[in-house]
Amino acid sequence: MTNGIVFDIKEFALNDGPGIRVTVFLKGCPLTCKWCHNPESQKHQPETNQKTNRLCGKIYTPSELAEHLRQFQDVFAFSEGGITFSGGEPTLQADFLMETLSLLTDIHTTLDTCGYCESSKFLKIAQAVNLVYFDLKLADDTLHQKYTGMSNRLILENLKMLDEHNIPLHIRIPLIPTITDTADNLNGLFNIIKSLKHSPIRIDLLPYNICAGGKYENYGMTYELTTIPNEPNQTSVQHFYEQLTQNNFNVMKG
Amino acid sequence: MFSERLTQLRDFTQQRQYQQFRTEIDNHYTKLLDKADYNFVQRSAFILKEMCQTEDAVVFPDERISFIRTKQNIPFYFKPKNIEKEFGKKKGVVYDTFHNICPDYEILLTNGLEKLREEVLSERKKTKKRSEKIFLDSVASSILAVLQLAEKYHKAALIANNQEVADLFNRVPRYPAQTFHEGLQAIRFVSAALYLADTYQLGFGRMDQYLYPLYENDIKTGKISREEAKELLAEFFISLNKDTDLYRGVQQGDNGQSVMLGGCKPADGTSAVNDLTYLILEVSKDLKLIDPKINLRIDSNTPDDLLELGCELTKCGLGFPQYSNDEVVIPALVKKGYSLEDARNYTVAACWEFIIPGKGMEVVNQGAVSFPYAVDIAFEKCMQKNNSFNIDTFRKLIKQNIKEQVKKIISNRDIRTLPCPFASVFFHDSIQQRKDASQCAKYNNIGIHGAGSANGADALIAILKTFETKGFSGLKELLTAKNANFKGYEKLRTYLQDEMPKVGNADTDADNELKFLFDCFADVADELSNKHKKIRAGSGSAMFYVWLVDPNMTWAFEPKVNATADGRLSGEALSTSLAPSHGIKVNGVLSVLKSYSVIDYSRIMNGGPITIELSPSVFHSEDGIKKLAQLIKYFVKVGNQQLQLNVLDASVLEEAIAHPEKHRNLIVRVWGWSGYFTELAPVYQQHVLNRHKYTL
Repeated sequence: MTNGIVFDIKEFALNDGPGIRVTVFLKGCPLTCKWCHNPESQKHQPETNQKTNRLCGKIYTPSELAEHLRQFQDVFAFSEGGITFSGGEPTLQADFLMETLSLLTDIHTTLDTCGYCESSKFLKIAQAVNLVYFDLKLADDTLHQKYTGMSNRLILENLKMLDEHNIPLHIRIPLIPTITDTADNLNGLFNIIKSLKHSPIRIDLLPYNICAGGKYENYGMTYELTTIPNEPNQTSVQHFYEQLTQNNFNVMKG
Repeated sequence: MFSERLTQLRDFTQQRQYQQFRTEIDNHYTKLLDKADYNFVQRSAFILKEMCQTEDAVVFPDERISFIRTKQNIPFYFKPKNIEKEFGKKKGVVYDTFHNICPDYEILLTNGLEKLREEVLSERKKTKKRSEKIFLDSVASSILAVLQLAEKYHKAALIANNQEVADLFNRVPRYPAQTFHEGLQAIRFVSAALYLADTYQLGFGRMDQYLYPLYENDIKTGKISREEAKELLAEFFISLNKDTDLYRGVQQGDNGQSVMLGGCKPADGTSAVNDLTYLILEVSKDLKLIDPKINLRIDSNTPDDLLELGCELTKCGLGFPQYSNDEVVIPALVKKGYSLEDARNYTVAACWEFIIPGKGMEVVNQGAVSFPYAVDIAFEKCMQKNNSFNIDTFRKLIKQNIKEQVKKIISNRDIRTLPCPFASVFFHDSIQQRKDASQCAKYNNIGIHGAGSANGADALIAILKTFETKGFSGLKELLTAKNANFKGYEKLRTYLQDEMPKVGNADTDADNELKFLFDCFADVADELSNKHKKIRAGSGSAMFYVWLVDPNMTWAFEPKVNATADGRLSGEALSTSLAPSHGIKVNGVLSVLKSYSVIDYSRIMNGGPITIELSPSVFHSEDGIKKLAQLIKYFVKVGNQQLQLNVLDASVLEEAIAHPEKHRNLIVRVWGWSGYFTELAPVYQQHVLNRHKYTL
């Protein structure tokens, strides 16, 4: 059995899939997006919140976690909800995740992922859940490396792979002012989405959380995006939205 | 949304402009009464008559529902010695006028005051008993006085060139209401007249039921459209926000003007939801006013769209609707001795206490048991024995203390209701029995709150766990730390707060102790009940969440508790009704609902809601309303009793404390009622703020 590290479990999570859901946040992420609003999710190991002195990150066995989640089985059943695995990047703890999922096969599960994961593992996980929320951030690889610390090549390959296996998919795009909301980037993302064989169930445009920087200090980190505007570029976003809807994509503005 | 006219009326009310018509009454009536050899029934009728005669009728040309209270004060109409002479003097007995109950307005709407007066007069002919004659005469003269005030309004309306209102007062409240509009005017006028009779905290009961026949008929016959009905209802609601500063309560806003919607029909238990249920919710949502406070009775079959409409109202941040689960409440009332038909007709008193309109004269808020105190004193006593701690003794002592607390509330604050002949008209069988409702109503039970249950259970489990892991020496350390208010024991305190099981996290150990405390309370309530006066144990806190921790609150004899074994510091408020202790890490709202489902609500039945503060972001998300409605269904499914959902941003409250002048109309839920935040005493402001800092 593989243990996992969880940094939060949120009950009644509203933006993470259908029905009433519980979202499990697994600790650790291969990316370091500059706009990340959960800086405590980036490192895999537990760490102390310097402000509250409370430890962030709790170790679970797959059966402990499954048992904890199963207590809400009744609410999942009648609300057609379920469990969402988010992070950090849940696939970073692939073995733990797979073992936990194998104990929850009767419950609707969603994977919320950045897509950065070794492909064979990624496919297995995606096939083990009922729905994938796949984040797309920057189309240009250089910019992707600049703002997330990693190349987007693997991410895009994985997206293509899921598409080929016809995995039920939502694509989520964070609209970060001056970074992901530029006309160039949104155009690039449009081309990526357009190239998919299967239309995603939905494309979610996620607004930037202006409180994103709030938690950095608590973990001895620095938030760099202090000078970007609060609101994304309305013109380019509106154009992108129209582009998508005109091509019959189901879009949700968050 | 609403017409310009209504917007103006709403502003007029919110700016308290109605106050400009007010004058004082001098106390010469009191002198008159001093000489008269009147009993209380007569005094009550006398003061209502005087109030009706001195009230000025104010009618505006463009309003469609009239009444403004113009007399600031109700003069003294009795002295303690009058009460003593009539009712005798007994230690611990406290007399109060009609309050915290619900008249049955259906009696008014279907009969009209004229017919009710005739009934009174016919009963009068049948009796030879002096006390009955006095009572019936007093009822008749009260009705007459109210009708004369209505006549005054009729004339004032003519002078104001408001034919519509003049016509209304020609018909109601004298005759049965024939239209929806007449029904609303009759209720506005008579409910205000009841306040003139020195009653307070009177609820409106099941408004969507007793108004529905009028509404349905008007719609069917094409007299009004749904939109017109909505406009009238809105004006009626605005009118209920006038004069409320004159109504008695612990704080501004605590005026008991509650409305119950939904639920089932008394006769057969089938769904009572109708279009008016929806319409009233819609109006409340559009107006965003404090009064009336909306309650919604729900069960497993409540339509989704009704729940979603309720959630839309929750979104407004007024702190209502408050939900009650019929599947739990009705059987509990039956078990307590209420007839099934009456139980199906329940409403709530000023806050959350389940009562029967026109049949219940219960004192639902006679006092509060402090669970944290019971646990604390038992712990102290157990530790007096050297080197041994006995869990069974500990539990016995807790129960024993709860019993002592209840006994004290029964004997030291035995609240009796003084007669009110006019209010008696709206209580069943009062006229037929020729007795004031305070002396002959069907139900006369006592409600006692169970306050601070989360802190109590958290302290209890912390003591048990400490004993389990660290033995007697661990308990000694805990006792010392607690009594030092955790000064020098900060690490232990953090440990108690972070590592101990807590109520609200669906933790079996903590929840079992919660259940234990309430079971003790229910047992005690049964033991101390008698046939005529049963004790209704409840789960509410009301103002006791601050009263029970403040040694300066000397007017409440309930025991005050200092720091507790759960890590709560001395002076820190208890959590409200059913809510996790302040400042602890809570897993989330699903766990909270699960935790509280362990309580045996068939015995803990005085009411007291699970109280959840939600972040406003709930409503910014996809399907937020729909999901919140599902959450409420989950509340029903796990067998909980009552639920209050509050939505507010803590930063808004902080800003309102700093700049009250900019936030005069900010409304918050204080306990069983909503009030203007800036009009609350600082201690309540702080409590509300602290709750909203821990949204789920």
